[in-house]
Amino acid sequence: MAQTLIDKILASHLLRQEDDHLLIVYDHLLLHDATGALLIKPFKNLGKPLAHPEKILAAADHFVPPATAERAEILQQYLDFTTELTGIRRKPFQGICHQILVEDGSVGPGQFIIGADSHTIMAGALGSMACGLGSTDILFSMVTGYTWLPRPPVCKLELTGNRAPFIRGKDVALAILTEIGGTRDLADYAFECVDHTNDQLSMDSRFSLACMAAEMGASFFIIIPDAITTNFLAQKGNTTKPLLPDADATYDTTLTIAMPEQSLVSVPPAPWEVEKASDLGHIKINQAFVGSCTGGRLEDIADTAAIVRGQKVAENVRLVVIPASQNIYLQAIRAGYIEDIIMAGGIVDAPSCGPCGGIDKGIIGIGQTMIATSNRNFPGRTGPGDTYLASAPVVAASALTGVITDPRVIN
Amino acid sequence: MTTHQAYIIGDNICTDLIHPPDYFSLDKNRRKKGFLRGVSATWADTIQPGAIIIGGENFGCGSSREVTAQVFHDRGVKIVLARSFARIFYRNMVNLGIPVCRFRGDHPWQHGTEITVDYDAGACQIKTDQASLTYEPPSSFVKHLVACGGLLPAIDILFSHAV
Ligand code: SF4
Repeated sequence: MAQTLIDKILASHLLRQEDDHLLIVYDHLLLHDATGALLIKPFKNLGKPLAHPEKILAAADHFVPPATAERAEILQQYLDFTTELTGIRRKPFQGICHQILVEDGSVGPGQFIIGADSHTIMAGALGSMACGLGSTDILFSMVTGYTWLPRPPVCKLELTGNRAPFIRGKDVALAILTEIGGTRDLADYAFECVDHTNDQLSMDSRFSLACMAAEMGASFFIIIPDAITTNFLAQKGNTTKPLLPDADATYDTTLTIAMPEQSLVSVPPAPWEVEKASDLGHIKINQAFVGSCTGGRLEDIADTAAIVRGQKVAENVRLVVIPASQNIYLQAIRAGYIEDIIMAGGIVDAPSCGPCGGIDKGIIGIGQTMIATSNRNFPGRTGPGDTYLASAPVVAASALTGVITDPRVIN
Repeated sequence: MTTHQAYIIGDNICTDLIHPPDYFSLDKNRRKKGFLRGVSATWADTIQPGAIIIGGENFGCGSSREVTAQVFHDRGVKIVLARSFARIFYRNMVNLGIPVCRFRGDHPWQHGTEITVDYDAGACQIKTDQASLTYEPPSSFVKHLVACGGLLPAIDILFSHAV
């Protein structure tokens, strides 16, 4: 029978079926300092060995470098803990865990990946099934080598139309959220997304889109591999032949999303409240933030540099740029982007989550407004102020004018 | 069968409202105080063990922080019913052995109604006038986990070996 990609990946990772649930073996398990630190005591109490240490990738990104003494202690406990876990792959201080995961040469299409963080779903952009789990789930998987799940319903998502200048993966994510976000009709669905657009989304844009699937309530979000995927994989030395769905596979439902014609912005209090950037010129900002696992990649930094190059950030507005990984940071330095941003009055910080989780440098205060390339704007998420979510071109354009700005106005 | 007081809340209740990050603490008493504080400070102070929480759509959306599920256990909640749950939150609840079930359509009750629950059969009703709500009974897999007290206690009972 013709199979979806979800069914193929599940079948190739199936340990056994228990009632209406599947026990699925994973290829990678991702940890970071903030949720990983919560596992230390329960892991020791459980007293069982790791099933597959070599499958565990441990990043440190949330409290890096730590902003308070308490976080420095939590980070240290996590570093000591992961050092004791013989045989795991440790990559502290290399950048945001989700970015470190997709940069890892062994991570590729057809895999099943779990992580102790909801945006683990982002790795689905490489054609794999990836999902975030809570700490008990992760602990269970660390010692057993598998996880449990019901077979999710599968939605075929087709992206169509022409991609206008400045339209990025973030805009596509916001277009999808406009369609399904408020009603939550497709919550828990696994998506198989096919990019039929002219001038397809770049790999960086695809990561940004897949990352926001967490806000869609998706269980998984796979972007069906094509030449863009295989080029990215080849660059990191991964020559896996991607697994694809059968052409005549049947889906539980389908959804078609046309490329938005202009830049979109999510307005507080939730990611699925979406308006056009051009309609929000009355919103004054205190901060513009380019960063996070959703919007801190090279494309985002290049977009920012291209817009602010030779200009000045508006008076008293903080333009905060945080590359998602050290690797991206180095590339941005070599390409001259960081210099462009600094010369325009921007502030560049070391790779980490920054203000995204409301935990670190760049959070906003009461009565303040930020426009950000990050992924969530629930009340209190990035500090007590209001956060608007948009692509890097919108964020950079807004940094120059001091109000939310459609980038077409600038160039 | 014992009766339980129902607390009714709306759609899209996110984890930051269920348990505001301020109350994230290693001190259990501090943690318990955060329970539903983003929804109602009065409830946070007064909800008694045995309560039933009835939510709307997308209950528990947002973070994977497991403490947002743990507090239901800490406060002795009997069962949580909602039209839909955010996936990670649902799993966190099941993994900790806290009964959660989905129902369809509208429920017939006001906040504070005293109701009885038959978790296995998938029904709860008001003792006095019999107005009832049926929900999807838990799958036997989920029922096993809840009976074991959660995923970790189930390792030695349900899952005999690692792979
Ligand atoms: S950048 Fe934000 S969303 Fe991504 S892992 Fe860090 S805190 Fe979470």
